[in-house]
Amino acid sequence: MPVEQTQLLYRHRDVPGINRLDTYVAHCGYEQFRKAITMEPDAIIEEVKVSGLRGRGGAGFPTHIKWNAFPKNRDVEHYFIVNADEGEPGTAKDRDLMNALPHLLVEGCLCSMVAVRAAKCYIYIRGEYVEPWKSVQKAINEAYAAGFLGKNVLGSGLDFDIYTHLGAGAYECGEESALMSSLMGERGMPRLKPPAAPLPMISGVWKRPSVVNNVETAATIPAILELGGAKYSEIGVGSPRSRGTKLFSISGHVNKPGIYEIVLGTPFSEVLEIAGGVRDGHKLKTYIPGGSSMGFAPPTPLDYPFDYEGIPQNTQTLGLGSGGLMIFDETTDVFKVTHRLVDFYHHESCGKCTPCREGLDWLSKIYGRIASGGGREQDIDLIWDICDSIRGKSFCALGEGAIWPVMTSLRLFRHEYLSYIHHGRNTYSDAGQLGA
Amino acid sequence: MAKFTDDTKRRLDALIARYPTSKAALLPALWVAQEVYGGWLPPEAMQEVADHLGVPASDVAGVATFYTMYNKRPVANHRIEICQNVACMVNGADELIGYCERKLGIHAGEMTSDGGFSVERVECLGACCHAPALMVGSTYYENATEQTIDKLIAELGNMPSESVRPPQSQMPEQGEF
Amino acid sequence: MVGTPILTRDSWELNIVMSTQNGPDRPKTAAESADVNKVVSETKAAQDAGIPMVNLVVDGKPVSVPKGSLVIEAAFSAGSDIPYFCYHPRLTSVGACRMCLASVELEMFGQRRASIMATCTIPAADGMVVKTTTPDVKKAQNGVLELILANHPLDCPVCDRGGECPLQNMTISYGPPNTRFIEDKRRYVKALPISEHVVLDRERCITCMRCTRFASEIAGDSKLGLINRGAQSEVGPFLGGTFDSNFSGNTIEICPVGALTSRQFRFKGRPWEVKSSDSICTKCSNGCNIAVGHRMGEVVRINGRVNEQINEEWTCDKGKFGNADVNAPERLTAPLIRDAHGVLVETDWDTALSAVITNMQFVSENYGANAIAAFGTTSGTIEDNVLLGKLIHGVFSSSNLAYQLTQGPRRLPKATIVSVESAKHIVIVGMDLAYDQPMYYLRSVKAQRNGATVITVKTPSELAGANLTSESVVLVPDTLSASDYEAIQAISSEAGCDYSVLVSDANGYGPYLAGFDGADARVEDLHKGLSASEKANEVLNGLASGAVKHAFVLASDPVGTYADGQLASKAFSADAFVVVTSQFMNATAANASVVLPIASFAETAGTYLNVDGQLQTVDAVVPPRAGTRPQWQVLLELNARAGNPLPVFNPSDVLPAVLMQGGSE
Repeated sequence: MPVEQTQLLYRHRDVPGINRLDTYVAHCGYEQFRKAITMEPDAIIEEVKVSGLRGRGGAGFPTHIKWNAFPKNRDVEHYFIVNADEGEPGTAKDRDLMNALPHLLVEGCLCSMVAVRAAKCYIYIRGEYVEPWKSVQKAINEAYAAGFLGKNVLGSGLDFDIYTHLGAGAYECGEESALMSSLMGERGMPRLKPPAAPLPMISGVWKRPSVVNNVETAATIPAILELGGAKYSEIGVGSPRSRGTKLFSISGHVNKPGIYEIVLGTPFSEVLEIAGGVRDGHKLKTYIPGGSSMGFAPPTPLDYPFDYEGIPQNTQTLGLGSGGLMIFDETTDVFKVTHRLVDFYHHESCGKCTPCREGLDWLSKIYGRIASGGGREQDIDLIWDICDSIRGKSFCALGEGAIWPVMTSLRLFRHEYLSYIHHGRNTYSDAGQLGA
Repeated sequence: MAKFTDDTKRRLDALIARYPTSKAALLPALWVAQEVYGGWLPPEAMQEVADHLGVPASDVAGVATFYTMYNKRPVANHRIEICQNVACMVNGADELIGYCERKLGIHAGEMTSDGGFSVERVECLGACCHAPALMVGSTYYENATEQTIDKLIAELGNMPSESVRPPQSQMPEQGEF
Repeated sequence: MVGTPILTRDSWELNIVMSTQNGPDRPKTAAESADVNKVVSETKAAQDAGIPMVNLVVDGKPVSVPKGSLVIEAAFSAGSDIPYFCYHPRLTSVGACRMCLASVELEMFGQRRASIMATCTIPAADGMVVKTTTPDVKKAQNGVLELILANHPLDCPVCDRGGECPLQNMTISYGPPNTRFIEDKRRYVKALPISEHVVLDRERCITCMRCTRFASEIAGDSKLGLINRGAQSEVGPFLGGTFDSNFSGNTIEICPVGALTSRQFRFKGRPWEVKSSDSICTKCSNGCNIAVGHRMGEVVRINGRVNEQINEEWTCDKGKFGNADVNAPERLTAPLIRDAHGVLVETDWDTALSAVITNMQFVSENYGANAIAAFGTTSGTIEDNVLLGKLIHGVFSSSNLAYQLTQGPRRLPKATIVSVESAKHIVIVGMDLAYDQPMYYLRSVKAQRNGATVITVKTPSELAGANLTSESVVLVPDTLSASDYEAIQAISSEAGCDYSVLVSDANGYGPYLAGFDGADARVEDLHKGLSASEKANEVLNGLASGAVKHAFVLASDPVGTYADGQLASKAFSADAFVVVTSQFMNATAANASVVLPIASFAETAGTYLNVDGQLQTVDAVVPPRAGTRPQWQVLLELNARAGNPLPVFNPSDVLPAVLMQGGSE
């Protein structure tokens, strides 16, 4: 049996009515905000720094560094922006959190707004997430009624407003600068970043200081304030740089797919067990550790600490990402899965830069040709070269994320590509014929 | 012909008030326009939004065509949008889409001749842990099976349109207390 | 990626052809050279002006560039070459095409390391080390170019851009020698007209967003935008609309491929057959510098040419496409003379010119010198006016030299084209600035982007509500009535600001500089302002009353354009002998006794003073249309026939002391 996992965010996940303000308050809700509003903003940032919290959206960038880059005054309006544009294939945690625990998000936003000296917060929710959106908006309305939002909140002299902003179907808007474009009513295309442009914390949306944080990052702040940064930083059994708990959406060929809060550094094999293990009667073929952009990992080793640093170099995946763990058993046609992902990124490419726009268009056509029996052996080198032309040259991380599953699948499952090329089908994805 | 009523304009103004610039209200305004125009955005709808927000019409068109959930042509009353991405795919999404196609006698991306239903392949819905998933209007159906499809089609067939009731109309007003 | 690739390489990568034609001496289009020249000259100017500089090393060469320059610009200043498509020195950087990749070593997050970056987005910084020619850089550029070419149609033989195409040039210098793309290319309707002037070919488009950025940033009208996304992205006007901007032609010139081409120039000749000669546009008073493209003696297109004081490098559509009228079949190609039946009939030059001189001499002898009058031209050159003055005043001693056909005060505007760029509050009275004063308009867009308020009022009375302050810049056309100018004067002087009257003709003060108001004509007096002239009214009244018996009208149309149209009509329907020089038939010429067909702006030489007081001299670009003559030659001949042979062999001999002594420029 896996060891019991510390639950911080999901502690009250299954309490009936926890999405209502009264129930949430009855479970000590908004107490951390009451505390935060009396604290110096920098003291909150210090707690976050000590806690070792890293962004839960995918990049794993230390949260306090972003927050510390804000001007230490309120001379101009600051914006706290929540990235709820969850769209990375395999990732479903933010949706669950917003559906089940909207007040935790609101409280997290409020604590964060105090820290970055923001009076306004926008929660950017992807267009498909209407139910989570309604859930969060309802919580916001309740918070206004209870005096946690509005003018002169809790007699602090500070005003707090949280608005929801619904996207309309663009994966790219999950990229923080594209999200800012979209929030300003523009096409969801990424914007220049340092060193080409100032940090968003200096000049972000509407050229004012802004930060974009993931839903889960914001929702973790109350737990950090409750425990204190030092105590929070003690949670974690792996790398000293991966602290606390993280939500993982575990999907694919497991017995109990679902969203689990897991202590960072828990051995991967144990994480797999938490989700009930690979579905009965089947064997692990490959997995994607953190959303499709991270790439495919080989089925061994499995006993490593599952955190930002723990994923073995030799898997050649990009790492933990957004926590979208996808498990594939031996029945999986990896070529087909990769083809599907290539088409996905092709569909979602914003079209701004050449490598991503043209490279993915080309890749998509090549995969289509191979799938329909027109593959040539030199296509494998061609795919590799196209990936090479995208890698490090695309404008934002979408292009980079798109080629990672391609390159890792080529490394691990080249024979499946060849099978399509020579036989027009995958002879390795049938039960009993393990390819890897 | 302009379709925005005084009520529409009041709603748009309330949205504009949430942002420092009126342009920022473009996405929510297009949702409202899509609702007013019966589920899609003809050029006139974009022009009305442009006029009300004071944004160049070409910018509105650029935004409306960038996001896939703004429909650029009329849509079916009930759009069965089935996730085709990886987690759903390895759990039988393709088979489900095939079933739906056969049942309605159309291909994915088409609508039935009476405009009642369409089947569409969509990208990751964020329901990977309950795959396969599909969406009708704004409602998710997870762990979907052929029975789910049967039930949906039977029930929705007699129901008023879901797709012309896009999310914005169900939105609780922003609290101003 | 860690580890060794397990793939076998085919020979393609090893075969990357390192063209000997890359580097700074690679073939460049005029536009590409202009980009580099602009950057290099600005760097030099900044050095001289003592602007803060940053120091970096490009390809081993230390270079100093003004703070805020981009790495690609530093590379240009260092004499290195970096290929690019979306970068343009007058547009904001987007980093879209990713062609300008180079190795940039810089310090970020406390670490110093080199990586391949899009140099059009990275500001140059102290201590950077840039390398543009390493094998890694070449491979990266080659890879990006292969992707750009993947869906690009190979229809260069039938593409108007072929031969002066940045994409072709870059491919010669930096691209792969062959293509590995065997899939179907994206297909769109070819040659889609999107306006009266522009055709769009979306298959050729590489989505560099230059045209859309031009529309929003420079033209300020956002008439062209990007729609759809990803590989389906395309540029176009608002759905179902047209690209109706007065500046649409510029997008043709900045398009780095053949996606936007000119309907006028379409298939008129291959770019390499088209000779390009420097000229000045005379369609309005702005005096934009242009390059006239001509093929076998025929003007085929107009492109912008750099002049930072006037048009930067842009043109308006009126100038770019309107000048095609030099080829119009409606042009007059033979002198006309009124026959015994009172009908204008074609004649030869000798007959026409003798008739003119004979009548002048007759009138002068029988009715006195002042029975001869002349209207100078505000669209022709200063030299034309000088020679007219020599004839009418010098030979025949008439003092009836009129020219001003408008009521506006005669004064060069305080607000120059360049100065509008830094204005904070701009008020435009009663004109469509984009069409009437296009370069003032473009600068007002710049000002607006920098935070200025730009207001347009229809009538002078509305000016009162425009919140004028002493800093306001008020732009006024020269076509209002005298009472309107009084009203504007009153309102603006109360606010403590000045107002600038912008003349509309190419050479509004040309006759003045030719000495029409007396010998001592100086540009600096125009800055101060001259008193209003009643000469035009005087001459017209003289014509109407019969006191003036001979009127020589030099390339103008008083009947069609004089503020008091009734008086002009009356004057020119009287019984005087009227001579009109013109390219086209007009209302005044229709009633004339003799009409002399003259050469167009491209077929003659001379000097113009533009709207804000800049003197510019141009040469003839093509020979005059058969049957027509340059105005200066016509006047020279008339002088000679009248007994005043002048030692003039070309217009540069004409510019008299009167102009040179007055020039404050």
